[in-house]
Amino acid sequence: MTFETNSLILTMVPLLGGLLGVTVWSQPIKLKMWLILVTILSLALAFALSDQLTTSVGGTLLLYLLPLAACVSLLVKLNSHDDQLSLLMTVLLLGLGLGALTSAGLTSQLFLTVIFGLNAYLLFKYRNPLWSSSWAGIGIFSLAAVGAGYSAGVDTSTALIISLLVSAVLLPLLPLQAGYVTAVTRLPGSLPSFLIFLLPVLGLNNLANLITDVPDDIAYSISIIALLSVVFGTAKALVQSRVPLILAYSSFAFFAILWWFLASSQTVTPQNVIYLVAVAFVATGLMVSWQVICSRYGDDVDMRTVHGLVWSMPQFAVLLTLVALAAMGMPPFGVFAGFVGMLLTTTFTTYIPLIFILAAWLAASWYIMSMVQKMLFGQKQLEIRRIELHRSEFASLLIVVLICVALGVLPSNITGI
Amino acid sequence: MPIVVLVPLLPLIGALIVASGGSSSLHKRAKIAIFFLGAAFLGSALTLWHVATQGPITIRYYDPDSLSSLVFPIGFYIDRLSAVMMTLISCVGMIVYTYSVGNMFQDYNARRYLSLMAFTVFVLLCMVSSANIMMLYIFWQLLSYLLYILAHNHSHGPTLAGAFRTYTMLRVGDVAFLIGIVLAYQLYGTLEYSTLFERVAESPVMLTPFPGIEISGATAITLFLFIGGICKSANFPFHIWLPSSLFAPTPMHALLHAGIINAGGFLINRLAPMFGLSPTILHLAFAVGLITVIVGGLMMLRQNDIKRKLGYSTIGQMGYMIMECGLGAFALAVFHLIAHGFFKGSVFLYCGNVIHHARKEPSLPHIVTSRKPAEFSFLTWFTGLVTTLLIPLVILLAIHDVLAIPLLESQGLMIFLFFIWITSTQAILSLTRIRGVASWKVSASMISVWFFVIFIYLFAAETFTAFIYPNPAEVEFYLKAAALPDWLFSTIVVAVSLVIITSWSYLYISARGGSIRVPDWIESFKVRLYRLSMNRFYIEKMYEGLGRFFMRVLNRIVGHDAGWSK
Repeated sequence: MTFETNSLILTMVPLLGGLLGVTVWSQPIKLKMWLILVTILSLALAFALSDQLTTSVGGTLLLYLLPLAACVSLLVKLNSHDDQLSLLMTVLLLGLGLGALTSAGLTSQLFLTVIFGLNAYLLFKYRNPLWSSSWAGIGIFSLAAVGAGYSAGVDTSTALIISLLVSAVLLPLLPLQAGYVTAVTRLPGSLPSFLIFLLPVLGLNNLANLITDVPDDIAYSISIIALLSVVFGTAKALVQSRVPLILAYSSFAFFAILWWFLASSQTVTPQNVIYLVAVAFVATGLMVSWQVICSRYGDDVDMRTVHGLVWSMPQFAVLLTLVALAAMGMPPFGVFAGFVGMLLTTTFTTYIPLIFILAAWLAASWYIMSMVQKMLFGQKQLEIRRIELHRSEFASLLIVVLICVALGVLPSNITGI
Repeated sequence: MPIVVLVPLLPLIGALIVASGGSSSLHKRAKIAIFFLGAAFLGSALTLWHVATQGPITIRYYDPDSLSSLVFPIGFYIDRLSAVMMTLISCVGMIVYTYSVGNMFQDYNARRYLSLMAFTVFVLLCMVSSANIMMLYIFWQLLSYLLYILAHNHSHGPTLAGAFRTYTMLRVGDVAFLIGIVLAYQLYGTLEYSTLFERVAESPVMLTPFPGIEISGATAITLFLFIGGICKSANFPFHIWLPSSLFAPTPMHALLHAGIINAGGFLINRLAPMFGLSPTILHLAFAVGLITVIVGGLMMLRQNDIKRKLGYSTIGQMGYMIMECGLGAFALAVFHLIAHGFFKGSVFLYCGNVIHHARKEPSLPHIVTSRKPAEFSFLTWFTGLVTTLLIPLVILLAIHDVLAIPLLESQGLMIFLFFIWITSTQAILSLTRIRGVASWKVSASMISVWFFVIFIYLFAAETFTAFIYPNPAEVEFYLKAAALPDWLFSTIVVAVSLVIITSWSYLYISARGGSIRVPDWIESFKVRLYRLSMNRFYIEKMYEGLGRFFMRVLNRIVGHDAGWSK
């Protein structure tokens, strides 16, 4: 089979699987089981076709992790009345994402256009008069959809700039972060935890083909914007009291660090890929953990009212602690490996950016620890005796922890890059 | 000798045994884990013997030249320093753990604390036997988090705040450490100890961090590693985490104060060849250590809680340890940390017993309502005067004139003599507070203390120095690198001498019932100093104020997202 055929098979399995899921639309549990099976099948296919498929960066690593991230997101018990749509959209976005990763040129841009369009539609559907920022997200995604389609048909220099802008929407960078932030904070169900992985991965994949062609002066400008984004994202994360916002802004700051390294070296290294997938997967894990809490305490619950989980949900407390440790860049998790790998393999012409990057790194330890401490510890809630973690939720968080450890400990050749 | 890898793994197995299984068999499992910690101690002692007789052990499970293995390079390098530290840690760990099994019997948190304790011993053993700086850093960071959860009582608000402060402070040190590692790799292209030391010595690199300021690569690297070290060892101005963590069970403190907190001293010793190339950082270490000694000592005097008093005493002792490193007496610092570790560990364990006992017995602690008037004993005071002032002077003259050793050019020797003098004086001055007993016993104790201190410093510490650093030229090199300008060294010696002599005179006159006229400004200074030390020099308040100000500014600049309640 040709490369294109394999790519088509990998893309069509989740898309068709998702459409077939419509037949059991009225039975949410069956639909969920079916969609989980589809993601597992996609993962198995990615393994089976791994010799004949590749992506712009990271070899086949991204092809394995994308279905896994979708599966992890679907495994969580949800409580929103829009469950079915979010579950279905997760699988459809998985198919489109795999298509964008395994194709090139016009096809890849078309997949991106559809992904942007779907995101804009979802933000529009779930808009709220109180959430004016949703319109910013809708606007950014709509423009990105147009940009992705347009860049395929114009001359090289213009296409380069537009593609860079499209990448900045996917892998968030100032001033185009609104799409990413609104998508991971406003959408319901399993979508935020999957999008927080999908968008940056597609961004890096898109960027990998461009970054070597970026002129030095533009690369320098990007590195300055990246540093500003690091500072902005960190500052925003520091002042938030809502978990989804903390996760959105902190991951934005972490991705901006990656932008700086990419702009400085003008190449994508294995360390960059490890860092990106580790940060994105950890963010997925934290988002899943938040969904677990929301399914018990209700949507948009204030984290200050959720305390003492270490008594009521001991198993969950251990898993959340491990994911949070990974997010704070502790060894032996992937974020630490990727970050330190990037620091060691980059040549610094000046050490000033290092100060900003490490300050952001230090701040992450502060706000993530503060967030986790508020939820896990503190006064025991006497009215709540013990809440058991559902088996699928346990599996979901365990997968996140194991993947993070594997990314941190296993040598690059095992992770496929 | 790959079997040495088992030594750090044994406490890990012990931790897993304690952590897994039901509550009914916890005590039995906890007792079984004692054997694993005991075996780790035995293994460490055998490793020490092996290393002392046959040289260092190197085991690598990674390729030092491969870029991909840079971030998780697991291997072991065990020389005499590592083996000594392993023996200390496993010994203290075993004693404290064994004590805790009884002390925490039927405690609600016993499983968590006991397993964490064994796990901490594992992390410490891996840290001190690491084959490269990156592995050391990996376990260094894990230690930061372990300190956070060891200082934890899940539901107690102040404890949580203290634990959070501990973690934040330690992360500052972790980030500084990481900068040191990045600089080391960027400038010299390796994280392997021996290769790094060779390259730093052979090819000095100059950096210009700011226009007009040039510093050597060794200074830049050691500066950040030093900050990492003093954060973990609770030195000024990063010491505030240690008193904040005092809510943990007392055996945890025994382990913390006897083992974990020594990490800074170990780090500087491990990288001594690099620190030896940077006199600036050694002088900085001396200054930081000195300030910590003074601040820690003053704050300790104002505490009325037994654990807090011991906590601040540890801060002072850590200051001494860093000061010794700053003087180039690296082995002396290790000697100090071992002695302090055993001393403070036993004091904390005893303190645990006292607290337990006091909780059961309402009449404790005893309140002394009447005290006999102080008696003056000429013999006691005369012995004190002779042992702390006259004999040291005779020794100095003998060394200078009879042995013809130029003291002003031998700061190393002076440091040893000076520490002997300070330690013995401190002990003997304490003995003068024992009143109303037969004075010949006190005098005999003073003379014994004096001989003991001299024996410890001149024989034990010297022998230990020769054991850790067998090459005398290396020891001499460090002492020379750390040598202070003559005028400063002399000023410090004279100032401390004056303080000791003044203290003697003050105590003597007070004991005789005499009164000393003190100028008003000194009295007012005393009151201010008292108030300052009562408020812990407002350092914690300053940090809190800065934090609040920073958050207020951030809130104003970046604001609040629309559509979300605060």
